[in-house]
Amino acid sequence: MNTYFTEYKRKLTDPKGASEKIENGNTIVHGLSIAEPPALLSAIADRARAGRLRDIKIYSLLPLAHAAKTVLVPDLSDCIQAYSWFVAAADRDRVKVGLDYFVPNYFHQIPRLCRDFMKIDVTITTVSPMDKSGYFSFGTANDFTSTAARHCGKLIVEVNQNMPRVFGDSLLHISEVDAIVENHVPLLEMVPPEPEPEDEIIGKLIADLVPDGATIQLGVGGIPNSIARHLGGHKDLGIHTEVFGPGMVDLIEKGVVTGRRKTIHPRKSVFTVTQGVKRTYEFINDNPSIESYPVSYVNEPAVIAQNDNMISINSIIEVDLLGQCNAEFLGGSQFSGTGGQLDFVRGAFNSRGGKSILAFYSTAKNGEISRVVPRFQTGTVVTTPRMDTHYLVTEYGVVNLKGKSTRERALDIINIAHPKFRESLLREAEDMHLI
Amino acid sequence: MEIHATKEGNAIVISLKGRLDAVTSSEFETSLSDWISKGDNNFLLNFADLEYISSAALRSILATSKKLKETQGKIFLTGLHGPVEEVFKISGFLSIFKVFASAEAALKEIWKTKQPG
Repeated sequence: MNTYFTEYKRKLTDPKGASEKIENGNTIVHGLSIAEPPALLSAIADRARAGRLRDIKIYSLLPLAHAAKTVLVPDLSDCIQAYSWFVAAADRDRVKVGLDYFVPNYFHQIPRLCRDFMKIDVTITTVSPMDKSGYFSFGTANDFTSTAARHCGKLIVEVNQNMPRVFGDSLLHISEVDAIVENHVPLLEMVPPEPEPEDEIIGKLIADLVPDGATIQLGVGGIPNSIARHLGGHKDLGIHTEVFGPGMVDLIEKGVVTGRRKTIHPRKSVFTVTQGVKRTYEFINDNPSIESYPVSYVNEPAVIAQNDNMISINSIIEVDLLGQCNAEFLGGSQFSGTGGQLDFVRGAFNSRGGKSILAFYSTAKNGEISRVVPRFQTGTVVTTPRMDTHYLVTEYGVVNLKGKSTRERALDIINIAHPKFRESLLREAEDMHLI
Repeated sequence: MEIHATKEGNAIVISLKGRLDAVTSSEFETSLSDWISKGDNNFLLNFADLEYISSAALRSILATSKKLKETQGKIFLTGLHGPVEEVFKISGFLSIFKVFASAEAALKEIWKTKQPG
């Protein structure tokens, strides 16, 4: 047995033993979404429920079922204070009633927040098994997880043989780890939703904006999946993306993505987070064409801009007639987060030949309300300021707002609203002295 | 916020009026602690006249209910309505506490439990 496996054995414990390393008043960061460690989270919840842990702060970004069923539960809200860097299904209601606290951020800055603005006592995350040289991989979650792992008092890892081993800057040495538990459960899967009719139209419109040889960033969900389907006839695309998802696997396997014309990391697909299904995780496992890096690198606008013909696609909830975009407020409360939207909006626009595209359905609530609104409800935050908004796409068309006057912008935006709302929007635009 | 407390058999009925929030939850917690220190451990919180409840108050109620477990005591709720009921629903707190449609129904249930001591 080599020295690293001896060290591994020495640090190996059970989840209960590992959780004993956490003290009252500690601040904990856990690995992002797919990397949330179920056994460790469960052990923390058990200790808190038994009255042996209190005043714990726990930070999540896009928590999934493991966190939702263990630490983000109502009966522990007196001893665990939860903080959210991006509101999602598992913590949205809790943020709404004040049981979770939202922390505004640009995704690319979270590693710096971890390093310079927080005191993290414990980081817990799922990693791939250790190799003969003593290295684990952060797998699906490089993002802030790798930084939090290196700027904390204690690092506890949950080794899972299903966590992919990923190239790039994704390795973690045994010497950096304080305790290890093993738990080889299947990774959580985020199954793509059934496509909506609008997804097909929007997907086609956006695919037409993507030139051959472009480098793309897509999210996950109905619209990104549809875009991926419509990119099937493209040539030599590259990937530099916040989230690597199932649609990208298809594009690589079809030979549409080659990365040959990428201006940084040529021939490599670069990501910071993977969310997908078993096939996605198996595809990136030990795949030298796939590289992950911390989000402070992947989402840094200046890095994004080094990719020529960078095409970034994100979703928004609504746009006003000035061109301001809201991707995070709904019904007067925090529905989502800024995430990496503005990182990519700015990075893609600054890329030579780049385009930043924000997509949305023209209506919500079965067509009852328009997502093009004259002005936002009081209190709604702006995710993408009007100066940054570049392309907007709905099922009614594509507009490019750059360089346009407030009058031209309002008219363009109204043109991609649902036809039944256009007349009232025109009147509102007049009242707002825009046209 | 107004707190009105009465003893009904082995239960303390606490009726709250106004806002139970970050400002007033400590006053509420003190009131509960006073009764607990006298040996009472079954509480019926009547929210019929409560207009608003904050997360600070939810945490305070939860912490007190855990303290009461040591003496087999409990907190019961009634009078949930409007925004207060909505907060209990959204927060998942309805799964932690037993809620009654009326104070009478709640008291019947509490009176079935044995008096402490």
